[in-house]
Amino acid sequence: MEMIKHMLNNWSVYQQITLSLLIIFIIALLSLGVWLFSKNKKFLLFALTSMGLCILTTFLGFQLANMIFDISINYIFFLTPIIILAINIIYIGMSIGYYNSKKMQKYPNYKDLRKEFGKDSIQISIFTILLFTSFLIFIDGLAFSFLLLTAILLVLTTWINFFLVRIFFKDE
Amino acid sequence: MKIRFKFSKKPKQNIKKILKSILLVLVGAIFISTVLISLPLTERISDKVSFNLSTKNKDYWSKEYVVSVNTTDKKELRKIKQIIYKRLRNYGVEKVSIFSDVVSDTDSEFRIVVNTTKDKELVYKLVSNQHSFEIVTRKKDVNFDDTENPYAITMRDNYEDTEWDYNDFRTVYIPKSKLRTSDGGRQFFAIFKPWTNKQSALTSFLKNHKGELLGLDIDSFVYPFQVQDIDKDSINQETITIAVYVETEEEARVTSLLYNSGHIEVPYTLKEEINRETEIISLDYVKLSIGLAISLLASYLYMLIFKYSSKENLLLSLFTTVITLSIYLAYLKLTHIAVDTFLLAIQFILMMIFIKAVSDNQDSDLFVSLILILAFILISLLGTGIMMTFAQGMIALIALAKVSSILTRWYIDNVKKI
Repeated sequence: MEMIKHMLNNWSVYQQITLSLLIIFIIALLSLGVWLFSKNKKFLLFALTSMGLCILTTFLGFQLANMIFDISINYIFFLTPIIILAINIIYIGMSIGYYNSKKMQKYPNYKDLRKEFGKDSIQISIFTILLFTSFLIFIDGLAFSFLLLTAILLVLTTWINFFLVRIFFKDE
Repeated sequence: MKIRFKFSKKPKQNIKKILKSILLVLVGAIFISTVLISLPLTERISDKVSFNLSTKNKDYWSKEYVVSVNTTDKKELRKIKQIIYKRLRNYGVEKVSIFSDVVSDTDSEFRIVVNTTKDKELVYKLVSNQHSFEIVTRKKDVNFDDTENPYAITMRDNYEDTEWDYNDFRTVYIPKSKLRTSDGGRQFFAIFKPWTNKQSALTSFLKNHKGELLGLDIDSFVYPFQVQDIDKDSINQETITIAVYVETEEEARVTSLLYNSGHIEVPYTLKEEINRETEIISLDYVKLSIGLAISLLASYLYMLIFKYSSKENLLLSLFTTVITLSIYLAYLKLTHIAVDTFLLAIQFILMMIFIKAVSDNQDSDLFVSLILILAFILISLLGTGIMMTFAQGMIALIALAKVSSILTRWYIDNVKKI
């Protein structure tokens, strides 16, 4: 809760407004993109829920890191939500690409789609772990905490997305 | 005996093949040179061309400015905090923290902590100036030509108030380039544009004072200016144009920020400046390169062994990744653009994931590239210091990745044909 108090007391109104607008515009952009490319309500709902859970997971991750491990969440951690957002867009994009390539707009095959989501989740997780681990060897201190926390949150949000898929894309 | 002459098309095709081969060799040579330039420590090999990765690590400095304001009103304090934050953010200061405390019944203090690579003098200007301005007229009983008092022209006591101050102007526009002056020189100018409902009143005011020397009072220091000659019957919408005494475009930009970021109405004074230890995260360039190489090889070896992608896709995405990152690094090295090595590392990690994802799923290319670029544009416009820098770099890298992808695909396809 210290984080929220700091944001409300020490951030200027301009900063609060611009960051709030940023979140709103990005959610709107992603929703519009998903709808235009997939024309599927389930995909849209999945994308919106995924974004919401990403924001929540990131916030909870920061809180836990601050409370349990005493990690100071400072300016560099502004990059964590951006990185998670970018990977989320890539993840959703990969699935939309598969969905369109198999012409699932006309003949949805959610079983194949869930399999593809699973395959993408494994790929992204392993890529993330390998890439981040290679850099973690060379750094320490705040940089280490930042990269480790970001990597953990990335893998976590990827698998949260995978479980969301199983809820939203059930066979009818 | 009949002799037939066959005009074969083969020579043309051979010429085409030869030219293509030469082009492939040239492109290959460019790729290899780019990779070599981008590698660490290669700048030591060549004396002819100077290239080295400039890092921002040494450019960072940190200070705490303690400012006193003559108010304890919460609304006013929030407004002042907003103005200072807006000035510093729009100048590009990477990290700004502003804390406010009420110290007495009438006074409050702001502690403004900056951590940045920007010019110290200009940051000081943005933080220390109230920059409250108004238009003033000369007092008739003051001798401004007195050689024994040359500063009379700048002293606020020698001027009278007018109805015109910062509330009456919607913007003060300072063009990016210098304009020509009457004596043939070049100077930056500030053009004071009034609100629409004040335009006719300003035009009347200027017509009444045409040709006169008036003053622009900024924080009790007056800058004299001459009102242009305006015809009585003129129907043009007039503005006030005043010279800005700065030399560089950056200084002009800072002056523009002081005019246009809002107005601090209460007395505002800088009390103290304290040097602080810089809070930067830096990564050695050699370690960055080793980290990149290990991460790239480990990821692709894993993909190859566990057959997550075909060999062709892996080769294409690996090649595209190497070329994209090499071109970007080579460009930074040759142009000596200073970078944050830590931000660079994170940008490169994201690019590796992006290129791999898009190579494997061509159908997702348009969605991912378009949405990512638009998202990063939004972040560069609405984000804070470090987010803006990161987003701008990512936009350049995504665009470069698209070009590299086309180039590498063409190169690999044509090399196979040979």
